Amino acid sequence: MAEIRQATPADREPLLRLLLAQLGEHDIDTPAVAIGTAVDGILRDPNRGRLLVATVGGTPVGVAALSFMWPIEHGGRSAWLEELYVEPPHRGHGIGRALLRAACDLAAACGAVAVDLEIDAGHQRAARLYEAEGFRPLPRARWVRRLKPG
Amino acid sequence: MLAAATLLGGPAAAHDDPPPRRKAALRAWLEAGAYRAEYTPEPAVHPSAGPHGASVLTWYSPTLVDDLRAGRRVFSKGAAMVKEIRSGAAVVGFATMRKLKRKSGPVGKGWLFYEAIGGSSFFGRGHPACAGCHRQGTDYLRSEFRP
Repeated sequence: MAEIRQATPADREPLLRLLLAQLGEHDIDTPAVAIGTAVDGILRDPNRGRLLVATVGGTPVGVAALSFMWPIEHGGRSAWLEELYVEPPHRGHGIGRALLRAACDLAAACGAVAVDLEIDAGHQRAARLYEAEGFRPLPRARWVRRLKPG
Repeated sequence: MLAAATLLGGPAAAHDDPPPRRKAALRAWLEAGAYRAEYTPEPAVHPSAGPHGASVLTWYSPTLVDDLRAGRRVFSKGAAMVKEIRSGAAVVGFATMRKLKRKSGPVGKGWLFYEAIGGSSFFGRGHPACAGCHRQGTDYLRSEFRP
């Protein structure tokens, strides 16, 4: 049975491993050092976001990463569920759903009025999970422009 | 009658009173630094080993100090700790826990948890955002400070 808890600095290396795997699955080539900087920044300042880990037998097998925002659209603090990842051998056991629910509870406890997220086009398994948990798709596409070299 | 009143108002009763159980009163009590009069601090500010930011300084209530010095691994009702969350020299938030019942219970409902930092605020008995980590400690105490 998986346990869900907030990440601590002792989880840094497993977190990096899980996040690298997650980004790799989505062909996002953020360097490990940049992921480490982002993780350290959250662990140092919980106002930036929160990290949850799912463990099985004490070993981290999943991660959820929340980043806080203050969007006009939501009228106040909200959270961006940036990453939700479970290692492939542990999928299909409800760990992702448990992480998602814990992340939403944690976001609400941190004062967020909404949780936003994005999924890859055509990622039906993720879409079914989020829809079942009360999320709805918006008819928009996410755009980005880097301001500094990655 | 005077003797009874004196006893009721003595150190044991004082140990059982704070921190306050209501959120607003608890926040005011923390922000006033009221715990500093009786609580025992760690020797120095140090990096947080938990999700409480960069650096922290933890203070133990007299009841918790007594329990630890007696070698108890299940703490008394009224045991409490306050963790100052620091940014440099400034206190920017607090995390605190107070034991409300003798038995902590399987999910920590015997403890009242509170964390306030910036826009985040957790408050509640066995709050899952806190208890998930704290249940790995000694009767939900994660700090390794031993006065």
